[in-house]
Amino acid sequence: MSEEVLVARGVHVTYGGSDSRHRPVQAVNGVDLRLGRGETVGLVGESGCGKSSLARALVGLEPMTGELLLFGERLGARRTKEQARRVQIVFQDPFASLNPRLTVRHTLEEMLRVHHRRPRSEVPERARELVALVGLPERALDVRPAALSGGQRQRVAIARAIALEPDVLVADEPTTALDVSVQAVILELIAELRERLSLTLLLITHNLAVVAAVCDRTAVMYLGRIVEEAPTAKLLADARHPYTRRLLEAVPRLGTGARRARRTGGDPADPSCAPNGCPYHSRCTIAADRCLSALPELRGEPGSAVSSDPRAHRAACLYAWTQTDRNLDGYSVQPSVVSPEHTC
Amino acid sequence: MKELSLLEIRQLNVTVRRGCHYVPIVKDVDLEVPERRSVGLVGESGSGKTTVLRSVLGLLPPNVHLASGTVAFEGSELTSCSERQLRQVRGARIGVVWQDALAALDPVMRVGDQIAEVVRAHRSVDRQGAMESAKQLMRQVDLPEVERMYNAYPHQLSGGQRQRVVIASAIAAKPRLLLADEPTTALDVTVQDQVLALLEDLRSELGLALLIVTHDLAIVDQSCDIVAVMYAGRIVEDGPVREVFSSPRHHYTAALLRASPSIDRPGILPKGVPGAAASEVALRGCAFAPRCLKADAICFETTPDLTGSTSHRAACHHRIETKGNNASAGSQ
Amino acid sequence: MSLPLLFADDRVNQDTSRPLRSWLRNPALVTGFLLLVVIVGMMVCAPLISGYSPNQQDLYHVLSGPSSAHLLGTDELGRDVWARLLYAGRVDLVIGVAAVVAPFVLGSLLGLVAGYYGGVIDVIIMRLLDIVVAFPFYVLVIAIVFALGAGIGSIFVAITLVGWVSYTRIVRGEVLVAKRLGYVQAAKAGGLSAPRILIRHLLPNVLTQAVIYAMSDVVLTILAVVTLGYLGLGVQPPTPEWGSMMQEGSEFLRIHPLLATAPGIAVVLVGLALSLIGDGLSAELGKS
Repeated sequence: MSEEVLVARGVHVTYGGSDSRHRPVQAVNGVDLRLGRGETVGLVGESGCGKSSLARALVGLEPMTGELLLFGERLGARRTKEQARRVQIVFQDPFASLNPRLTVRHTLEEMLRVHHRRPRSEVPERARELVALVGLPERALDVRPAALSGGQRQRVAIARAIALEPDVLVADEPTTALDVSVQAVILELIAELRERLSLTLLLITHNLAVVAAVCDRTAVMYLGRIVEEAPTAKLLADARHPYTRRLLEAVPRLGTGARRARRTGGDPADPSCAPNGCPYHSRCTIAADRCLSALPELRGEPGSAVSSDPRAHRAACLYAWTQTDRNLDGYSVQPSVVSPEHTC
Repeated sequence: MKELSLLEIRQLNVTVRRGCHYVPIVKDVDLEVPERRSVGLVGESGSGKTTVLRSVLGLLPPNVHLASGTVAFEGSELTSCSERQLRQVRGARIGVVWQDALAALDPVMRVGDQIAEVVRAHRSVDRQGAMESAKQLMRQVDLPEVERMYNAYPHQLSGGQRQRVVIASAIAAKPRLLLADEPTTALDVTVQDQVLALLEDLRSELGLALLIVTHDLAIVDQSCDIVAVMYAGRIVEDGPVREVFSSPRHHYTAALLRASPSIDRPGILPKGVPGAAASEVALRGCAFAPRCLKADAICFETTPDLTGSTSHRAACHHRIETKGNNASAGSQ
Repeated sequence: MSLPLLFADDRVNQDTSRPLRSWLRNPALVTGFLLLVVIVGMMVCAPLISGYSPNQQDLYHVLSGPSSAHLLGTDELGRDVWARLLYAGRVDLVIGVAAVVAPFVLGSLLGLVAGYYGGVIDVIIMRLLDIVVAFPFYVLVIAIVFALGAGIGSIFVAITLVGWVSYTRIVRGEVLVAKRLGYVQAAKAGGLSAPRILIRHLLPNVLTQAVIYAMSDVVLTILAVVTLGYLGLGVQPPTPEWGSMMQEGSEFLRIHPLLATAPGIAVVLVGLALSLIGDGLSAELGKS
């Protein structure tokens, strides 16, 4: 097993507890995550699943409870500059991720200087290197973000993140706001960089096709919990959680011929009003009475030798390893359980 | 046999005013939507696809002008219609679904009433009748608990539900054609799936023709019969979806296909196209030439015409041939 | 160390921020600016064009109308009105501009801190703001000047203590939005210290609205100074000041209306110039 770079245990992120008018929302509700050296792990989910909150908590931008270990060292609520340096993030919106008043050079050099990554005299040279590393011409250094396209800005944001030579790079929907052709370039860039710099990467996206292309391992989130986790190829070929299967079904695919999509299923649940028991039961086509009361844990295939290996295929469904039929895919099947009206 | 065209756009040219110049943003666009068929207009940002959609209904922003071209709907010319005549067409004959449902709905009006309002505007029914029709429409678009939801306000609904309300309003007056501008871009993937399925079913139930503008090739593959690919204000390829996507003739189309990651090809990186999507109409030469690996001198000098067989056309000097000894589409 | 050509993105546009040309085309901005230049120019050249000292009394020629000797006539002490007008303008304009600086700086800093840190600091600052705002502007200003004794120093103190609130509100609002933006979050994630984030990243990007407001605030401050002068609480005689000129001239409105109206018109013109500049700036800066 490769070295554990980042280990997260029992992460909880709560919003809005202090305001008496609103109940607190559990954006992240007990997540365990491990990142090994050189691994690219994907985190997928739809809106409200908590993936962005988790990303921000890992980077220290959001208060969290639970344990976070970087190479065994505990990361607390307040991070030192050095600790902060080692876990970096790239955001979704390229148009807000750069200070509009600073030139690219200033943005990069500031990071280099503050963290003393190079002696003062070498900083300008390093800035040039970084810009070349992300495929931008040298003259990009002296312009302000307004002169750059979305894809170019995203490259600068990536350069800024890797300028600090972090151990872990968290990319929160790095390509969502970009055109398809540019998205592909950024993905290629990320793939190339992680090779060269031996980066450990956590890629967060709602797009399963992106994790398919780039990630070694993928975790699926729903309502603040990880509901399935597996090596990516295995997840795509043999998903065990009904939600994952629903996601895979819903992704429009090129070249498979017109496929009939499903009309039923409901919208992703609202995290401020999470149901009891399994978070997915209200939309699940195979939910039973048990699913209302028990919160399923992430378990691997029972009896298999690797079920205790945290990197094995695990799913949080009471029926994950026992379904043999395909009724999950039948779109005419209505939820077999009518969930009681839970008051919120 | 040529199908009957419900909507026929010919040589559409749209310009935008920048300072004292008029800059073209849509150039010489020909597009047809046959009856009961679904057409996908695909392009990246700046391609002009949304502008084409807006031109159909005369809904262009103030400094954007339809410089020339014709838009014929059911035989009559829309570009020469007065605002009043256009209002009769909008909603009644042509429905529109926009990308941002929250912006399309009045935040202080109950959603049911908004649908009823559209019904009343185009059909002569009384208030009670309109309300009943609205509820019927809400059921038709799979909105749950119609009685309760009729009285809800837009902010109380989820994104998917709001989009369904917009769709209900769009079909309220039983139009023949539905225009959709990125109808599912802002939605989660499972919700997108449902909304697209809904549109499919509505199409067959109501005999609707559909023109979808989107950047997502996979949606077009799944939901459309015909596709037109736009780049820098022009149509660079069009034809039946199956054919265009399996054997693209234009290098931009091929590049887009290669750049789309797919869950069917795990571990395979999509291939990027260097540079950014051009948003300026190239008046000389092919707009894609600077980014095209096969471009040569003629590509920079002469703008290629949209030619080919009557069904599958491409505007390229060096079309990708699938028959013959040339490398097939998708390699390199 | 660079990547193969296929990844390269060579087209970097020109840095198209050329504000000057756009600014020169804005009618409000140009008109206001020209007007202000003319007015300020006249004040600066006051000694050259006035011909008289503002305090030079000529008791043989009191309350005379416009003549070849005195452009606007003389006041009740035989002092040349035109000269007094120009010298008073110097006083009022300088105080007006200077008296905006302190509230701007204080208010912006408080807004920056309140918006960024939130929590207790925000609560304290906002409650303080509520208290100040509860009183009408002039009531507070006059009360403070009265308490401290009339004079330029008191005016400065009073306007600062009362005028900071608008800037705090404006800047705090901008900060609340800006601190959620990617580049500020990235700076935080990058381990940059709070002062550095505040000064380098937030401050330059949140001051725009405050600067535009400051333009109109100069007008309001000049008005306040003039009002205080009218009430006898401002600049003390014999220093000429538009407000006190209006107060003195109001007694003679029937026989020599120019004494009171000339300063009034001057205030209007300055206010017009500054408002035009404020409008123009608002349009230009708002374009980005």
